[in-house]
Amino acid sequence: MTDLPNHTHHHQLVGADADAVDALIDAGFDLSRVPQAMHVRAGQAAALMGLIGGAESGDGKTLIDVTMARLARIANPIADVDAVLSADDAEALDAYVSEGFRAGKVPSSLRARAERLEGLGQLLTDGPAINNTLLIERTMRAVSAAGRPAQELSPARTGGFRFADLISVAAVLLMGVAVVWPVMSTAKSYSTRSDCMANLAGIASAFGRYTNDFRDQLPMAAASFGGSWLNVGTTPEQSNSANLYTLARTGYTPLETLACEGNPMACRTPAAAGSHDWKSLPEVSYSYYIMFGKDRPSPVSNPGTVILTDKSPVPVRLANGEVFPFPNENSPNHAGQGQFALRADGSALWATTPQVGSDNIWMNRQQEKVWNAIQPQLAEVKRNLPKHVKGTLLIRVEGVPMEWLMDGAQLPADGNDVFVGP
Amino acid sequence: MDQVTDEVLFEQYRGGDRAAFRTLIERHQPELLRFLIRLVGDQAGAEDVFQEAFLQVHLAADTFDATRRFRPWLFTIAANKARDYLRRKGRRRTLELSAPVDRGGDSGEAGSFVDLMEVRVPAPSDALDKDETNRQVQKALDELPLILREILLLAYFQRISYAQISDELGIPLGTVKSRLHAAVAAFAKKWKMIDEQRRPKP
Repeated sequence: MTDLPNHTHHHQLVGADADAVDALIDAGFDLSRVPQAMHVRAGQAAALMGLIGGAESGDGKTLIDVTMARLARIANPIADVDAVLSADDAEALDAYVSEGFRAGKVPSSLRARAERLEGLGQLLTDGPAINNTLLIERTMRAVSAAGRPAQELSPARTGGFRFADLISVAAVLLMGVAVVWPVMSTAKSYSTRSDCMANLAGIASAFGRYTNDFRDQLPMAAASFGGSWLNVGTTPEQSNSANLYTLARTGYTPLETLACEGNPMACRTPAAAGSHDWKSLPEVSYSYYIMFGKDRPSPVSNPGTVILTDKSPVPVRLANGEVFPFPNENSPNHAGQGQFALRADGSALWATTPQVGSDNIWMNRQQEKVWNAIQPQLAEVKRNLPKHVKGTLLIRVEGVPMEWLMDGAQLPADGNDVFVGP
Repeated sequence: MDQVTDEVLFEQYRGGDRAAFRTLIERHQPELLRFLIRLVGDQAGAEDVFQEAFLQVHLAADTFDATRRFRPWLFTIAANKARDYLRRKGRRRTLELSAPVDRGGDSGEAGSFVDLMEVRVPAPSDALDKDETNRQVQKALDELPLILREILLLAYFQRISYAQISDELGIPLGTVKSRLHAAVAAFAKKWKMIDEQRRPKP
């Protein structure tokens, strides 16, 4: 057996490698027909399959060749993929395209051919009218369910406020005190948010200085871990919050920066001189990337990974004795409207749902898979509920896999799997 | 009737106007769905991809460069989603696996030239069974490699220039040109075969 490179350790091709292998198969295993951008990867794939030179002639090579050739014929059962336009037709096609697919505009010498091209086009684009209001409805529903995508915080946005909001607040204040109360709560939520943004800026700066001093490693309290990261205020080996607290303990940021205005139990001064953690979960305001696993993100290798967010609602529910956390719930810090998320590269975003890209920030990848797998049944249950029923849906799920339950033993799948707590 | 452009609608939608998004979907549904049916090969799959494409448009709204045109962007997203769908579904159909290795005895025809003047395309006056024609076109398309099928459909449905296709797909202009040439040749050849089989000889 010839020596194969590390690719064979991956059991599943993803992304660019999958594309390249598909392109190779589509090209009938002829590397010259593979799009340039995929050449390198496709070449590696082809080399793996012993098709091109470079691999030593081993006993297995003939068998590989025959197998691959057979696969190639199966993938392209028709030799017609070698069809080539005659020179006149090629010219006619170029002219037809440049005239906006209008045969009538093409030079007369090429017109007859262009008309053939047009006829072929009609075969492709014509067809029975498909009346599909149902599809439009489904699509609108899917888009609504997705909610507003996470918004990037950019310098163009002034501290979470929109100018129009400030104007309307001022206008209502002028109109009379009676209307002030609802407006005040809106104003308060904006002030909480801008306070949080200021905190994030301080935290980002602290992370930056820490990683600078500690060879690109994000803060951790202890070298080895055991037990549940859910426990706050116990030993550093058993608390992910202690990992975050390290920033304050080592003087990279005052504890105040790690206190969110939206958390009434937040503490702003250390309980004792040598504190290594907050005393209990209610005192914690921000959830940190769970650093107990082997793969931890670093600003260098995973700049895009979210490493800190507003407090996760999941451990709060667990602490209340609820076994089944609600992954679509927003942080309690901002009245359930959303949460800030800070990435390893120091950029921040405001997410109106816990879904940032394809990642749910409150869960690890295994749990996300389980959660996604039960969505169709959940949707079915909700659809079948009588319309007048209101309130919280309590679900009993039989046979829930252990990976789903959150008890502090769960870890991120790798340095890109956003999973924060407590 | 003076219509609001796609780009204006999209800006309105980005400003919070949900009805504008619906208008965009309604406006593009007939063509986009037909494009996807041709690309994916079946209506149910095409409808799924249609939905995923607009969902992606919604999620990526912030990244859309307002100086670009909306329609080519939509079609590119749809083509990518179609590609993902086909990979997930397992593109290698059992039909191909059980097909005889040499179809139609064309073993000596590698690099055969196609002359469009020898290809008959239906005239509007032809009293042909539209459903049958539609099926045969789909069959011919299904036999094309995805890369060729994709560029053939993107070009014909959008009627845009090589340069625009090159921009949208991010591939060199020369590649666009040679690929489209190959795609037209392959499709023309298949259609010619099918057409000859189904028409009575004069």
